Amino acid sequence: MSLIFRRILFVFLLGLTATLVNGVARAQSAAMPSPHRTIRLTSQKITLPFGDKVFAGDGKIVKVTNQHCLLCHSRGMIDTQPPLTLDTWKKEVDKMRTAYGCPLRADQTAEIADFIAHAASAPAPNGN
Amino acid sequence: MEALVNPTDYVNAESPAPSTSGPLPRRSFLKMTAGLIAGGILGRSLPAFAAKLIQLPFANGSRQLVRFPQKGEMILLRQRPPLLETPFEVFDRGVFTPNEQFFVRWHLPVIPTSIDVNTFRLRVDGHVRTPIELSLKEILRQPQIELAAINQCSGNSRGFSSPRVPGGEWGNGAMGNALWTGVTLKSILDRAGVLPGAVQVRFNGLDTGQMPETPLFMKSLDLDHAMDGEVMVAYGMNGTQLPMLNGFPLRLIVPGWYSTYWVKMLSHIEVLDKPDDNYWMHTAYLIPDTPGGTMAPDAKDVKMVPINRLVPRSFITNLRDNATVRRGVPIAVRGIAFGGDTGVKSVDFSSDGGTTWQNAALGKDYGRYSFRRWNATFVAKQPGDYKLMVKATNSNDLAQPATPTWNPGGFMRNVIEQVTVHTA
Ligand code: HEC
Repeated sequence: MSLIFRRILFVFLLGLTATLVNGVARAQSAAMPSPHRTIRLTSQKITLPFGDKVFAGDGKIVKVTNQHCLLCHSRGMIDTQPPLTLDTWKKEVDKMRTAYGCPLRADQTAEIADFIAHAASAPAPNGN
Repeated sequence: MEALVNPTDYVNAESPAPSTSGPLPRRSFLKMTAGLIAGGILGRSLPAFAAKLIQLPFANGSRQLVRFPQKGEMILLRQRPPLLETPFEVFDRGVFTPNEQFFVRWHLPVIPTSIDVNTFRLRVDGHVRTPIELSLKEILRQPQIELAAINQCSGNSRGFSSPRVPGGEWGNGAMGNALWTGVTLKSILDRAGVLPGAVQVRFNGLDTGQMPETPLFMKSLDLDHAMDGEVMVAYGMNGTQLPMLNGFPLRLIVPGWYSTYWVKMLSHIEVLDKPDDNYWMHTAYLIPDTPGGTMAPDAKDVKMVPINRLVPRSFITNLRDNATVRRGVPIAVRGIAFGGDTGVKSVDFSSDGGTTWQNAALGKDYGRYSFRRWNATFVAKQPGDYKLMVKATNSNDLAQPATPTWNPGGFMRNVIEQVTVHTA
């Protein structure tokens, strides 16, 4: 099982428990008056999309990219970039590793940057 | 303090009911921030069949129009964490941006999707006499203030940068104006008692990274700024509670400063006795230390500083590029303007590409941090193209520049805007 799908399964189980707990919390949401303009604050609960679109293909580099570049943001972050040079993509991948903790080795940067530079120049129309 | 606003003066639909389903498909991808008041359910991607596409006017500017929970139709930039842009026509409808279509901008993917108003606490600690935890009830009991202020992303209009730069590729819709209701930050800091030697105040929200290595999204203000009586902790936006994606239940409001400081789901205020060197202050969100934050793309060794005050901007909102106009009759042109960190002094309009300018009429003043409506007319006497331009000057006599700002972050664009129309 890929890293990303193991994560999803894990959070699914946590989430099940969470839904039960939340059901109770919501029932007691209180209205609270304020002295001048009355702003009522009531407990909130929403559902957010995950944005699970991956890069298509089954080469090793596709897999490595899907496992690493979609961990912290959906593919839309990549697909909506302007045309960037390979050098800029290398800097971006390095930034993801060093500034944000993308679990890649330094020697994987060039290969991923090269793949992304081509994949991102042909974004799907419903980018997410 | 800024003028109070008559609630009937602003465009604001009813706050939507707390939504558990929303228009998004739910599926069993569930995600939970264990231990928090927050539990989150993550559906999968938005349905492709519902896709309505629009094209922002730059390379790779194709975008979907989508609806997220508690939000109306928005331009999708990224699903996780959400980046949603306000469709530009919304700015023609009034100077206050409806909550449902106020832009959305998160950095970190683990965002609480449920908040319990009874258990939520705002923590204040660090270099203070008494660390405190305030409930929403306690905050609502404090003296209330209201202020109209523009919240504009540092990178609003980044997609127009030339040469292009990586980042969130927004059109002009990563901004909005709202009437904010809340309490002064000063009143909260006073409750904890700031100790001598304090220099900055740092803000953190409930969002966190997917990887522990990702720096928490924290921003800081100098102590004097934090205590100025205008920086506020808001629980109201256009007369109702904030949408979750705009920072429910509490958001920091920093009038006249870029949105990066307006921390959402504000949960922790920390008084610092030395300047903040965290990533989001020290490495990200830096601008060249030059007038207007601009530099040459090939300049080297430019001194960089944290982004700060807004600069003036103005837009034509009722005529789009390429629109057709009638010849020989007065044509009404209108739009919005803002001064940035101070009010609008004047707005000038040109229908001949900037050769001659006329003073536009200014609409009601909602305070110096608000959008201001402007109106002008022109007559297209000859057949052909008309290049319409609009330029704001603020009360510090700072005017919009004729050449676009450039910096590596794609921040602070405020060039004079233009729209070309032609006669029928
Ligand atoms: C550990 C988390 C993490 C991982 C893994 C990650 N990113 Fe990012 N990425 C971020 C964060 C945080 C941002 C800034 C988000 C924002 O501004 O909303 C970002 C932003 C970006 C941007 C926008 C430009 C910029 O520099 O802000 C691009 C492009 C990008 N990432 C590409 C990638 C690619 C390609 C990969 C795989 C090599 C990747 N990311 C993996 C966290 C991550």
